[in-house]
Amino acid sequence: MKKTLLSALALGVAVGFSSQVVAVDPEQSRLDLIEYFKAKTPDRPFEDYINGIYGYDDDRKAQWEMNEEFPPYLDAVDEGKKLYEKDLAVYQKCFGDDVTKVRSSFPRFNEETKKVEVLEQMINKCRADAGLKEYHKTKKEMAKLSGYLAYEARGQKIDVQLNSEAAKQAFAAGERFFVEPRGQLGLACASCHVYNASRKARSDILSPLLGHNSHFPAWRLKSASLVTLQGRYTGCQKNMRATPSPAHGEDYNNLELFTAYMSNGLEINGPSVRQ
Amino acid sequence: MAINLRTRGSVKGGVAEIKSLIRHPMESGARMDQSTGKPFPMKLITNVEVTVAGKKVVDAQWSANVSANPYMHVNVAANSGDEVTISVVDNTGEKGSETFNLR
Amino acid sequence: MKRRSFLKATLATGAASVAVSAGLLTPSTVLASWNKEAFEAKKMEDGLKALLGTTDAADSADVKLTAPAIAENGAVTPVTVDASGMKGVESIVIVASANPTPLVCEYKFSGAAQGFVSTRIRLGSTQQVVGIVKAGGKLYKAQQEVRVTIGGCGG
Repeated sequence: MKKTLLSALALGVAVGFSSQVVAVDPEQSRLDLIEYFKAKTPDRPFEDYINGIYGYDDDRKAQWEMNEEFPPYLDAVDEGKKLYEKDLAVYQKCFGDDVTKVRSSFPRFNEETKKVEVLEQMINKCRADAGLKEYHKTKKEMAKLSGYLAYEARGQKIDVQLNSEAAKQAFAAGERFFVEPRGQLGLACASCHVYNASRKARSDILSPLLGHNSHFPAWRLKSASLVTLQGRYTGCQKNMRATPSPAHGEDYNNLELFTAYMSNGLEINGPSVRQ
Repeated sequence: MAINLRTRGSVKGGVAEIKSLIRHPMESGARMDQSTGKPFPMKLITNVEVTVAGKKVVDAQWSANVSANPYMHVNVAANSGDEVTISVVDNTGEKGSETFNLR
Repeated sequence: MKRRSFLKATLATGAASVAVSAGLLTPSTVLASWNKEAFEAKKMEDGLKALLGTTDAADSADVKLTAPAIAENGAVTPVTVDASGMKGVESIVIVASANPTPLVCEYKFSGAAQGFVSTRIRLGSTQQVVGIVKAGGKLYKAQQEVRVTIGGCGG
C-alpha cells in the first residue's frame, strides 16, 4: 500500500517499520497535508502557513505583529553576523560565498554518507574540521548564527530534494517518528500538529506542521533568546514527558528532513517571534 | 559602556513615527537569582527624552513594569530630514543616546 | 539617513569609548527626576496621587487603549494608548492595576508631540490595564482586562 501521512494517521496505529524498506511517496504525503489543512481552514492561503498559529487567532496575531514590527531579535541577528564574519574564511570553505544560500541548502541528504545533514550540525562540523571549538548545538552562538543565516535567506522557498531511494527512506523514517505516539502522554507529533492544529492545549494554540520549518530559529519571548528547530524538538518532547532524542542525531535529523520537505514551497521567514 | 539603542523614524502625512528598541534588562531589584538566592540588582531605565528639531517633545519616566529590552513608539509632527535624538538614563547612571534624521 | 551619534561611533573603538563614556557617568550629569514614590507605590491610587496629584479620572471614549484580550506572554505585552484625537494632551500614564507596583510609565508631551504612546509592558497576572490621559488639566481614562495565562505546551 502506498504509504502516506494521512493513511498512517487514519490507521491510528504506531507503525513500527524498524529497518524495513517501505514504499514511500513524499510528494503525495506533502500534497495530502496541504489538502488536509485546506479542508480544515479553507480561507487560509498556503503562503500564510509560515506564520504558524497567528493565522488562527486575531488577538495573538495583533500582538505578534506589534512585536515583529520592531523585532526583539535584531540584536541576536547582528551578533550572529559578527560570529559568522569572525570565521568567514572557514564558513565560506564549507558553505560557499553566498551567505543567502546557506540556510536554504539545508536540511539535505548526503548521498555519500547516506545521512541527513542539518545546518546547525554542519556549522559545528565545519568548525571542528577547521580546529575551532564547537558551539552548543541549539542555543546561544549557534542559535544566533542560525538566526543570521535565516534572516539572510528570507524570501527564498524551502526546497528539499529527495533524489534517491535512500533519501526517501530517511524521509520515511522522519515521517514514522512524526506519527508514532511516545512518552508518558502517548502523544505523537501528529496528534497536536496535524489532527489538533488550530485548537487549544490549555491556553496555547497548536501550530500546524505545514510551515513549521520556515520561521526557525524562533525568538522565544519566554526566554528572550533564539532557539533552533531541534532545540524546540527537545523542548517539546520534554513538555510532552518524553525523553528527548539527541540534537543532530538520526531521529531529529530525519524528522527535520521530513518536516522541511512537507513545507516545500513555503517562504523562509526566520527568525520569528514566538511565545 | 553605554546603553545601546536601535531607532527608527519616518514621516507619514506630516507625522513622524519615532520608535526605539533598547537593549536593557529592566531589573526591578526584586527578582530572585535562583542560583545565588539573592535578588538581581536593580537596573532599570528611569528617564527617556525625545528631542525633535532641537526641541524636547517627549519626557518619560519608566519603571520595572516596562518590559526588558524596552520598545517605545511616539508620534511627533515633523518633516523628513528633521534631526531626532533619543536619550535614556538608568538608575545606575548609565546613559545611552542616538541621534538620527527622519526619513 | 541615520547618522550615528559620536558616542555610538566610539563604542567600536574599545578603550576610547570607555574614556568617552566615563566622562558621562559623573553624578553631576545624571538625571532628570524619577518619581520614586509613585513608581514604588503598591496601590494604584497611591501611585496616581504621587504622580498626578489626584485619582479623579473620567472614562472617555477618546482614550483609545489597545491591549490584547489574552497576553501571549505577560512579560512582553504590547499596549497602545492613543489620545491623538484629543486636544491639549499633556501626558499619558499607563497602569497595571494588579502588579505589585502598579504604575508602569508616564509620558509627558510638549510642542509637536502627539498624545500617543505604544510600548511593551510586564503583567504579572490577569488584570485591568489602565491608560490615563491628562488633557487640559483634567484626567481621562480607558481600561481593559488583559488575561495572563499559563500555557499548555510552550513550556
